Parts: sequence; C-alpha cells; structure tokens
Amino acid sequence: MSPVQLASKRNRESQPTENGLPRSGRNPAGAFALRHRESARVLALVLLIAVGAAIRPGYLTEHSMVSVLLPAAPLAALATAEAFVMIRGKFVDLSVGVTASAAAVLAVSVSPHGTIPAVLAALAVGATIGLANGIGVGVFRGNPIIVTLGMSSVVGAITLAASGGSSSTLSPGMLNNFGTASLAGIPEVVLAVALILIVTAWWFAVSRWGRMMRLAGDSELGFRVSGGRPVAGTIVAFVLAGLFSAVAGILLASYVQTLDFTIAANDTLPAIAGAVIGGVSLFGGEGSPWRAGFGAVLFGFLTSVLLLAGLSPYQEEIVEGVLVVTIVYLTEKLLGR
Amino acid sequence: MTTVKRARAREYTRIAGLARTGRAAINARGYLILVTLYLIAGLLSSSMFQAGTIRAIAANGVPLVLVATGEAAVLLIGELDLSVGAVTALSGVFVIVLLNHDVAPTVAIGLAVSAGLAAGIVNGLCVALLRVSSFIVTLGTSLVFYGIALVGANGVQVPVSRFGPTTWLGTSFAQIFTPTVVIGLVVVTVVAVAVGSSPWGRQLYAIGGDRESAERWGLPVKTRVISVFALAGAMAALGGVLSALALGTGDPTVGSQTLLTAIAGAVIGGVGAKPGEGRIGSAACGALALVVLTFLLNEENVGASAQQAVVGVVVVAVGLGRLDPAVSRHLAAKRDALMKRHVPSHGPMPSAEDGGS
Repeated sequence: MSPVQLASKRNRESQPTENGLPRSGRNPAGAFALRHRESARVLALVLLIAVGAAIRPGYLTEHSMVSVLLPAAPLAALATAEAFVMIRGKFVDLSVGVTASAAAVLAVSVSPHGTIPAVLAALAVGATIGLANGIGVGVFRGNPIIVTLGMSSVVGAITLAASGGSSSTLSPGMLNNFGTASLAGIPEVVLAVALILIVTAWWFAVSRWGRMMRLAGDSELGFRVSGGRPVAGTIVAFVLAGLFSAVAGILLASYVQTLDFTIAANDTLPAIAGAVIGGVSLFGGEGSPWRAGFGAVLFGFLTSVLLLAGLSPYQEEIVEGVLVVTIVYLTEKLLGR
Repeated sequence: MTTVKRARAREYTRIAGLARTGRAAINARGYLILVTLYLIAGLLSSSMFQAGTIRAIAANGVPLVLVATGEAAVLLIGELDLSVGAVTALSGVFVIVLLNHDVAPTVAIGLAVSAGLAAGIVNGLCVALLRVSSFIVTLGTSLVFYGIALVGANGVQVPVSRFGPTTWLGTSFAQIFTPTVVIGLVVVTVVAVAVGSSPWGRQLYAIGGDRESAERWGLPVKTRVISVFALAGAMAALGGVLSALALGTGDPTVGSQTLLTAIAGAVIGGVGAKPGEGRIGSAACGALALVVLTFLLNEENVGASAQQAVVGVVVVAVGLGRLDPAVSRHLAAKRDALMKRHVPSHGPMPSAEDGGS
C-alpha cells in the first residue's frame, strides 16, 4: 500500500463517529453486527443450549443446568474483575486467577473463626493485591502485563507456602450453608452473583467513578486534558478487580468441598475470554460488568457443550484456545477496529 | 555571536553524550547485572568460581536463556509472546515421544524444533494478518499448545526410554562445557549478532521504534513480524527439547514459570521497557543472571515457593523500573532549557510521549 493510500485510509478511520460507535456506512456486515450485538449474544446462548439438548436429551433438566451455572458463577465474578481493568483502558490483569485462589485459601483457613471474618479477610487480601497492581501500573507506570504476571508469581508462591501445598476443607458454618443451599432450585451462589452483578452494573452505569473509568479508557489523553485524573481511575479499577477476584474466591470456597491452593489459577484466560465474548473491548472505554458476567455464562455453556460433544478435557482446551482467538478477531473486526 | 554558537554546540554535544550514555547503560544492563550478581554470589559461596559450578549453572541456564532470547526479539518489535512456555512443554513432550518411537535423535530434535517453529509461525500469522493483539493470540494459542502436549502425552509425564542423547548432551569437556552449553552459546550468539547487525535485525529495530513509519518507509513489516514469532517459537522449542532431554522426561504441564522468568530476564537485560530499544545479548545475560540468582537461593537453602516469590518480586520491580522514561525526560528538559536560552520565542518542544493517546 502506498503512503498516500495509507494516509487516506487513516483519515477515513479517524473521522468522527456516531454516538461513539464506528460509522455504519463503511462496513455493512459490521453495522449489522453492531446493531444486533446484544440479540446476537442471547441467540448464541439459546443456540448453545439447543445444541446441548440435541446432543443429550437430559441437558435441559434443572440438575444439568445447575451443574453448568455453578462453576460459571465464580467465573462471572472473575470476568467482571477483568472487565473493570479492560474498560479503564488497554490494561489487562493476569493475576485475577491467583488472587481468587489466595482469597479462597484464606477464607477457608479463617472460617473456623466465623464467616464474617473469613469474608472480610478474603476481600481485604483481594483489595490489597489490587491496590499493589494499581499503584504499580498507575503511579509507577509499569507495563500491566509484566506487573500483574510478576504479582501472580508472588501471590501464587505465598499461597503455596501458606497452604503448605495441601488442600483444605471449609469448616461448617454460615459460608458452608450458603454454598450448598439453593432457592427455588437455583443455588444461592448463582443468585448471589446475579445480585452482585446487577448492583455493580447499576453502580457502574450511574456513578462518577464508573463514568470516570469509561471516559479514561476511551481516551486517556482526552480525559487528562479535560481535567480528569487517570491514575485514580487506574487504581480504582485494579482495586475493584482484586475485590471481585476475592468474591470469586469466596464463592469457590463456599461450595467446593476440598479446596486446592491452585483452584482458580487457570481461570484467568477464561475470565478474559468471557469478558471479551460479552462485549468488553480490549481497547478500553467500552463494556459493563453485566456484559462480562453474561459472557462468562456464555463461555460456561460453550465449555459444557464441547465436553458433551465428546471432547476430552485436553481436546476441549485446544478448541477453547482457537475459539478465544477467533471470537476476539471477529468481535474486533466486525466492530470495525 | 560566535560565543553563543560555541556554547550551543557545547550544550548539544553534552546532550548527545548524555543520550549515548543513557542508551549504553540500557544496552549493557544485562551484562552489568550478571557480572555484579556473580561477584556477590562468589562472596557468599566460595564454590561459585569452580569449573563444576560454572558448568552446572550454564547447563541449567541454557533452556531459559534460549527462551528469553526468543522472547526478547518479540519484545523488541513491541509485541508479546505468552505461548513460549507452552511451546517448551509441547516440544519437550514431542521429542521424548519421538525418541521412544525409535526415531534417530537428530531427527527427533529437528522435528521438535520444527514443531516450535510452526507454532511460532501460527502466532505470527494471527498477529500480522488478522491484526489481533499478540497478547490475546498467544494466550489463546498457549491453551492450544498445552492441549496438544497433553493429548500427545496422555496427560502424564513421559519418561525417556533411551538415554543415549541425554547422556551425550550432559558429557562435560574442557572443564566448563557440555554439548548443551555449546549449542546454547552458538545459537544465542548467532541470534544476537543477527538482530544486532544484519539488515533483518535493523528492520526489527525500525519496526519496534515506530511501526507506522516502518510501514510507510516500505519495510516488509508483516513478514518481519511473522519471522520474529517464528524465531521465538523455534528458540522456545530448542529450550524445551534441551530441558526435557536433560531431565529425561517430557512434562506437558511445565513452562509457566519459564515464561515468567524469560520475560523477567529479557526485561532485566533492558529489552521490553520500550519497543525498539535494547540488545539481545544483554537480554540473554539478564536471563542468565536470574539463573545465577536461583542457583544462589538453592545454595542458601531457600525453598521453591520462596524462589518463585523472589522471581516475582524481581519481575514487578523491573517492570516498574522507570529508568528509560527518566533518561528521556531528563534529556527533554535539557533540550527545552537550551532552546529557551537560545531561541527566546520558542516554547517547549512537543515530545513523542505527549503525541498519541
């Protein structure tokens, strides 16, 4: 492509957008996808359930739906954690999985002293890790990938040392009752995540901090020039990510019988994938907590249908990796970025 | 007038000198850290200067240094490869499985390295042609490569049944060398020279410095990006093969710590803080410094999890290091002061950091 062509392409791309969305005239398929992006995701979910039901008639029963939704609940919390950082802009937090594991291990070991101390301790450790990440990325301007990767190594090592490498069991109490109880057939864990997501999404939509994170993610330079404080937004985003990772850890601790110290360590990528599938942009400024949560549920159903289709867990991992790249490619391509 | 001119010339020379010193400090960072750390280690443990210890450190370090060298080339062009850990697992399992099926050792090693090369090309194609961010691509493909390794190994560690190549690679000669060390030295030197001095390498620096300019200048950016990912894949595979042969097992779950340590090593060596800056040899030395650190921690009987924590702290600290921005800010301030003195109407010059969002 000649420099002139490149330049004209660039000019076209930098033309103003309508309502912050790419101009619809340029890419008809993209415009269609953009207009129907919400319904497309709901349709995908319905299709996945239909495929699952076609493969195994018992898929639509309450029992199997619960078995899909229960692991999807902590994943939704993790995807929400990731969403805050992604919306704030071009950041990603690779330590959410390890943070959730640390919070889960801590909650279990504090649980003999009561549920409330256990929950508070887990939330505190999550917020601390998030704060450390936020200061590293926001104040010291570290590369978020390298900082959070290093942080996950540190936290993983501390969790390993603290748990002695052995798995632990939650002592009976309120947390345990909560994890095993269900309301009208739906596990309370799932209901709790749904409630948290609704409240957070509402808060994120109307509050000053939510608006700040979205704007800073959309254009950091513009945000700074118009008098905003991007660093504060970064720190808040990472602290929220730490808190929601801790929530995922607490939920895991509440219903998993024997808790391994690496319980959620491999859930970071599924969390990112869930957020992206749900429509949180990797380039910042776009998305909301409920979208990330919905994406995680979609991802959970996808995994379960792949396993139903007769794939071994290893093969399923291969397909999952291919799907993540494909979905990110399609999302970014169709939305014209 | 001449005095003003002369003063200005002196100032410019000083600034150029500062810039050179700053860049030289970054380019030599890996070497300096390696030497300093080794001397400190020598003070703490007298065995550090014995031939056997040097050989052990070098032989243990080769796989990591190879992975870090490949990763450094990727960081140089402003991308990131998170799949190198998975590639080491994949190639390690592959070479052991091939050896157990009575394939000749050289062919087995060649095939395993080619598998890594192919994996790297897949990464490069996705990044260059699909324009998906390299971080997501390689995170996704690392799942794929781990999956393939697990399928190939049936989910368990595969022990080697023929010990010929393992023993041969570990035989020591000339006090401090083993074939593994020689392979590592030769490959890293070749890559470092190629990136540092060949036209291909200069293009990589150009792409890392400013990709759009490189594109407009007419450089084949896409093929260069693919070639760098291919290089990283092949290097990671070679590291995985050597490590699997040294251990005698192919483990489909190794690599996450290697990935982290390789990135850390490259960053310590001054590559990755800013695309288009740094030297490959320095990055390799940075990785070797981490091997020395691990060795020292082992000597001092520090446990595995504490070692992991130490590496993590080093990564975070290095990731936070604002040495390069500090140098460039210092230079910008100097330049502005100079301009203000000699060209009174001139405001602060726009610097690259204020440019984009």
